[in-house]
Amino acid sequence: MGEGTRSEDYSSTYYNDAHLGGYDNYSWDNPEWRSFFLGIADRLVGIANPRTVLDVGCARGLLVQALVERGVDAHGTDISEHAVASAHDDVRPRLSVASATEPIVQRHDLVTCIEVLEHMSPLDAQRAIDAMTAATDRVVFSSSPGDHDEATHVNTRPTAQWAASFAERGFFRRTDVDLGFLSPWAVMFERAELTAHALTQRYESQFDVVHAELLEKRSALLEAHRRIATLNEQLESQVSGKVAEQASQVEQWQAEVLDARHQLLTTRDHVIGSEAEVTRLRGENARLRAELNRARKQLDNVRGRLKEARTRTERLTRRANRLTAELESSRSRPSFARRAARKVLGR
Amino acid sequence: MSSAPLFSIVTPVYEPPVDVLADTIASVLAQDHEDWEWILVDDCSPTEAVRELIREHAARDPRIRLVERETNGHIVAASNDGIEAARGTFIVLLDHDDLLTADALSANARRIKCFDDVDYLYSDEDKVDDAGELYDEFRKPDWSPERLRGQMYTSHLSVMRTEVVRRVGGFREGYDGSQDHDLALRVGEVARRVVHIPEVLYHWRAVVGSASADINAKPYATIAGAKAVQDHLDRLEIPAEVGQGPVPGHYQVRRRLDPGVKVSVVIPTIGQSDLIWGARRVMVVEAVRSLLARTRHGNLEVVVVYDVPTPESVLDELREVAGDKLVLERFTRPFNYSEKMNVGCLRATGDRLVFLNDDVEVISEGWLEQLVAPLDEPDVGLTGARLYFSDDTVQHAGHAYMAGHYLHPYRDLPRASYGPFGALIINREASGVTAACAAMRRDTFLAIGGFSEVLPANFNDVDLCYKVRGAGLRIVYVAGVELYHFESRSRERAVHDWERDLVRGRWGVPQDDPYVPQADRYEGRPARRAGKAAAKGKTQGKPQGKARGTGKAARSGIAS
Repeated sequence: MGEGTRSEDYSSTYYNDAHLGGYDNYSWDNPEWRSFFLGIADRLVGIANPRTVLDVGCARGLLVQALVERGVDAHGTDISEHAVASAHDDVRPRLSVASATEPIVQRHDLVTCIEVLEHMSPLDAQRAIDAMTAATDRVVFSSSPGDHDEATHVNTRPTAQWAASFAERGFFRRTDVDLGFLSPWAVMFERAELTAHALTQRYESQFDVVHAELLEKRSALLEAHRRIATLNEQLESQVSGKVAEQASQVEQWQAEVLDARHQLLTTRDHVIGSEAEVTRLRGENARLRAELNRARKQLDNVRGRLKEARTRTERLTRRANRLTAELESSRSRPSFARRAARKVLGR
Repeated sequence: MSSAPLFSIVTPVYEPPVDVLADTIASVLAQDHEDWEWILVDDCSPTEAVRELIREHAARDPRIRLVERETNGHIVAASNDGIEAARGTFIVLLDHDDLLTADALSANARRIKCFDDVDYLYSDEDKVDDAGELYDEFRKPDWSPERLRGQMYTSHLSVMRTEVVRRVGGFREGYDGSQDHDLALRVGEVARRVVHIPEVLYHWRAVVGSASADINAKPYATIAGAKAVQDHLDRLEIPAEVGQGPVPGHYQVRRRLDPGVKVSVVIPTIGQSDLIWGARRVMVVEAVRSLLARTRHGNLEVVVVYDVPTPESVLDELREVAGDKLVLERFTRPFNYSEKMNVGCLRATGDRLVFLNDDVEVISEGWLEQLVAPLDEPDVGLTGARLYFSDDTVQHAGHAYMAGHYLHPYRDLPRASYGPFGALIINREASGVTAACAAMRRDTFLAIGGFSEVLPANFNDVDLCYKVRGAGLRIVYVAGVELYHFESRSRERAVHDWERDLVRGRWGVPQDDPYVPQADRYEGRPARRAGKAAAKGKTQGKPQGKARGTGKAARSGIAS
């Protein structure tokens, strides 16, 4: 517990594993890193305009080099021999291997200590704060309160704790300076004689802003939630209305399909019934025709017989007439005896 | 004889009384058709006089031949010897003590001339007693394959194409006593055409002490019969078990229904209540309750088509009884039975439709399976059930359309009756069945146009049955599906002339029913049970248990 890290923990592996985030190849030759640190140097010069700067835990001295580029007399110390040895030739003379716990010989307008103390044991960290606050009136400080995945982060703390430690040494947060360009938790501490009144006012004025913003955001959030809820409801009712509409449409179509199938069924029945009827009538027709033919034949026969009978009748009538005439004529002639008697009697 | 004769009469002979054989010979010699040969196969009759009589005739008439077996081989072996020796185109099966009518062969020859694809002809028969009196006339239905599974109804006189008999392997050993039934089933399976000659061409001699005996004394015959039917169903891959019926010589066919087949029972109702056996009941609720209780078929929906006045409480009860099997279809138009059924059937999703009235109560366990399963045979278009009035008399056992009427031919017979020649207790083909309980394939229903809606009240099922048969499909009455049908016997539903005229307009005036002989033939006969008549049965293979229990006229008009 409480053990810090050593120089060997920051070998080439540390740098090559990209613990430093962002870009590959942590060196001045990398234009991305270079422009990143030049930007920071510009901001620090803009805020504090220091003549001399000491970067405690400077690694390969990229910030030192950037500050020098901007005309600042900057130096750096780091516990890692590898880091210092692998620094750019132009800056290496300005760097030295040293622990942050060691006292700082010269005074500096500004000491920067960026992402260093979380790597040290709690006690060493306090010693480092002692050393820094003894050598300057102004410290640009940043220490990650989280990021526990990194193995060398052995001493991460909330920024409030670091601020309290600096306060012990008469250093207070410059609430008017925002170092957000460095990290979300970066702070500028500055030596000051502050009454409780001034300190409270400094923090309260910050608190007011933040509190007001919080309240505003809360109400905005609530409003947004309400709006979302309303929109959701509208959406749902629209969707369900649409669904209901479609369902009723489907129902109507189903009813129509059922109707159509019903129609088809009754039509089919009608067709089958009509066909049966036609078949039956055709059969009956054939039967009746056959009967008719038979009847015709019979009629022909009857006619023939009738004709025959008529001829015979005619013949017979003729014969009868002849016989009748003969009979008549024979009747009209008196008998032989009568004729003889008439002759005798002379009448 | 130069060319092959048309007929080869085959007669296995074993020890008939010589005078009886002489009568049989005389009946063959008296045929008015002469193109025949007669093969008599003597199966080692102990009496030499039998052979001598045959030899004597054979010497006089070259058409008569005697085949003498060296060993006694029984009926199957002797008959097969005769088939082997036959040269004719058709085999005529004649027993050694029975009589042919003089026109028996000419009647067959006439039909053969009409249908050159006929493979099997059978005709009506009766019995002759010692005094030469004829009785027990069996007027048979037209070709009825389902009925042949229930009884050997084709029997005498059977005339089969020789080539077909040989192709199916002739008579089979192991079916003694029912060997003719076995052969008829096998010939029936392959026959291109089977023709029924509705004339008595055969007198079956009931001689006590003849070689043949009472079937009741020969249980092996009925066992062989059941085996023959089972074989037949197995050959056709119809999943079923054959059991003995209540009368010897009658068989029950219990089919299995594929559990995967979805069945839709369609019931029209108006939710009325009635007094049944002294208690008031909501008819449709009890119908649904009993139909569900007596089936194990789970893939089932019950579509109830209800008229608007149906009380909501009845619908609630139905929901409780049928649960998720229930499909309710509201019917708002004026009453039309046919339309209600059509709407219900179109709404139904099953592959099989069951039409059911709401005034029924199911009696038979497994009724749905038995009613629906026969529809797996593609040429079965409709199946029907056996329905009783509440007083246990028959309301319905198939329709008959004859002599200008649409009839319930067995109506009013007691429930226990076997019906004429077992008509009530075996499955059989019918001209029609009532839609009070019937089943149909869905595709058939759609193809024939459902129930005719021009017949809203009466005769719609008659028309439906005509349509089914018009489509070339069989209608099967299933004896094992019994229900009560609480149709009021006294209620005279008005039947209008236009309704009858409509059916006649389509299908003509019915003359003779193909499956039920003229109903008035039974008129005035005493109601007797088949069992009693069965005691007079002469031999296996003849229509056993001449279930004459015909009762009275048993004709009632259909008005439902």
